[in-house]
Amino acid sequence: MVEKMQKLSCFIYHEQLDDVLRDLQNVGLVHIETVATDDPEIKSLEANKKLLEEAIKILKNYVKEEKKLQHTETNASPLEIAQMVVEKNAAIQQIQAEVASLKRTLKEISVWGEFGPEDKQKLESLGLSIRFYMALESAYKKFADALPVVGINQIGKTVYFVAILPQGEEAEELKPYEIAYRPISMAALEKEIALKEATLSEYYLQLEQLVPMMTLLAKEKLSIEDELAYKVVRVSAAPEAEGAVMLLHGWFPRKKRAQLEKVLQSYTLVYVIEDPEVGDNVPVLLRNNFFARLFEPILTLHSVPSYYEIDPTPLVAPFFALFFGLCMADVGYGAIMLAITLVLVILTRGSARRLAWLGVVFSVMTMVSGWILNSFFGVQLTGILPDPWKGTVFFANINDAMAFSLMLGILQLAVGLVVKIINKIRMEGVVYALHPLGTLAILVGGVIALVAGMLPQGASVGPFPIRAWVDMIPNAAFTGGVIALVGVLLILFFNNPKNKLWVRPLLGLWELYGTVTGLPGDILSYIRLFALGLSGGMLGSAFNQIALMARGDNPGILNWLGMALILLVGHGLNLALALLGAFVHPLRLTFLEFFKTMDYQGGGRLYEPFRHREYIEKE
Amino acid sequence: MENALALILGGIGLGLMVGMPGVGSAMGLVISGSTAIGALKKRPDAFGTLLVASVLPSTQGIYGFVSFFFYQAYMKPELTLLQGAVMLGAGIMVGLAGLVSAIYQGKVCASSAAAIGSGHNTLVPGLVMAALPEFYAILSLVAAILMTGLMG
Repeated sequence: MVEKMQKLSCFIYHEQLDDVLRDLQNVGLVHIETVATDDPEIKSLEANKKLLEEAIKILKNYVKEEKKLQHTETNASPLEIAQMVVEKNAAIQQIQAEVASLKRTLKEISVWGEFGPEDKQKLESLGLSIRFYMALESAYKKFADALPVVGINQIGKTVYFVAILPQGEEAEELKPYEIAYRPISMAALEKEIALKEATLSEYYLQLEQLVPMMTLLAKEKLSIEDELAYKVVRVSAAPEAEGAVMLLHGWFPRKKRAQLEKVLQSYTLVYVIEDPEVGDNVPVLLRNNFFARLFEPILTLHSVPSYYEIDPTPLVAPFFALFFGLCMADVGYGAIMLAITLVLVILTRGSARRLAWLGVVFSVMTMVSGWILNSFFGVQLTGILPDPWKGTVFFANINDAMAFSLMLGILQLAVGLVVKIINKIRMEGVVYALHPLGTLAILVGGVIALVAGMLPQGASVGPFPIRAWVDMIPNAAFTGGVIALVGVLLILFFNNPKNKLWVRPLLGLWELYGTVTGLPGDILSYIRLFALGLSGGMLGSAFNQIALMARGDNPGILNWLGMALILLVGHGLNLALALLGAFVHPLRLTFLEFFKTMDYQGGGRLYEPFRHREYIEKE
Repeated sequence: MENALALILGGIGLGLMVGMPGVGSAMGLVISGSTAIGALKKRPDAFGTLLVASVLPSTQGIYGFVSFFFYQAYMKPELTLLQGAVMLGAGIMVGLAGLVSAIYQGKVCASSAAAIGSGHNTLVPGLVMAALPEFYAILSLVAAILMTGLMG
């Protein structure tokens, strides 16, 4: 449900502005309209916030479970500490890169063994020069006979060799094989690396010692965010009457009016409270019951509803949960998920806990769907349940399961159309609602006529005796046809009430074409629920069979182990893939088929009251 | 002789049914996976997100395998020509739909992974977009299951 909002316009005497704003921030009710600004103070606060965030992120990498570090005393301010952390981290990255480069060089020169610049100098003082080469073994052998070369090292088929000649002389044929001489010895290089690594571990330790400062930094970040929110609102107050009064605009939930007015009336200021007008960009506060609220994050993946729309969350919630369950459809997998999500519910807080509760709902639906669709870790439930219970496995027959998923599709599309009708009546008027009403009539009438005309007497889908339901309507096939025909007429004549009546049937033909071809496609799309549930179950059963093969008829301990391993890995993989599919496909059905049918616009902006960050963190 | 032909048709059908979607899934995963690795260089912290974003083309191979489970029991010496023909038809249908949809789904996933690497939050839209081509592989699976009605 979208909470009703009211608009507040407030004229505040300029000397009182700060007091009023502090009180408004304390009460935390008003979503204040802010303006974009390049105020230097705000920029600097933003930079500090970023610095603190970066420092906290870096320090998180140095948290070690087993180490309980002493709280280090320091006189430095949180911002100085953050600056230090960021600088240390940059230095660490620089040294790490240098060490990596030195190690590469070490690897390169290690083929020559211990031969440093001083050795080269000794040779040169004797009037000799040394040059370094690398060649394939076959080429080297040719030179070895003819020239004064000495093989130093061989790696695979590559030979590293040197030529020692009187200074000033050079063997022309060796030129293509020459490699550059690095004037550094291995020992010197190793020493340098060791030095740098020592500095690194010293820096690591320094950062580790700063880990306990994280809470201080987080606290400072909160207070900076508070200050930032305050400054942004302060800058947004528009000066009126040559700066004597400041004007603020904002929004608040209507039912909080008394609480807000109490604050405002404690000052001598003028304020106006109005209901929003059509066209106002009103911030949206969703207020749903515990169950539906769990699904708000899923809705916001698409977008927040606009203020004037019906909030679809309470409608999305039951369908999405059921669809997820049907796509997973396994009692065993559901039980595993339930165990994990219940643990998460206990361990987590705030929004993470709400997600864990969502997981609990999904798990329960997976178990329920697994039961009615006949699957327990890929084993058919009808094979293991006692006889009296077998009747509760409603969709053991796969044709029934398929028809059930289509039935759900028809139901969700019908709900979507009803919502669209209500939205049209609320926002544009009854005449505009006749078009979606026509679509609904075609859907309902078509289904009645088809069930009455095509299905045999007594036909049912699992526990639902759909033929008997339809037969309750007198002369069902004919009545269904008439309802559908009325729908066709409504679309032909009310597709766009702005046009002249005689133009409408021509445009209506196009609309009708879209409806008649679109509806069956949309309904058919729900068949994925059945197919995904079935494929998960079949794959699970395949792993069971493979595991049984591994066990064999005369199993030893290794066979049992193999069987357990195949079951564990197989079902683990199947569960992970099924989870992905079971999230993505209901999401598509919701965003595409359902939202398209109900003409969901979205694009609203969330209500974010001006208040202290601490409250937000707590939530 | 007629029976030999039926067995050949059935065998080819089963082979295509599992083989082609498998090839498609493998190719799709390579396409999305290699882009994900590229994106990982820019955002090493996004491994989990990128994994989820690029794993979707794996499902077509599973659909092929599931269809195979519906048909494998018919592969006996007494297979009739009609049954063999249905198996071949189902194999080509599931195989082609799985092969092509998985490859192109891989491209959608790859684009999504690249966008994630550049810092955009496209995981969910990417998944929903990638689920669009997959539907036709699902339809072919459903049709293959319905076609078991023709097997007698």
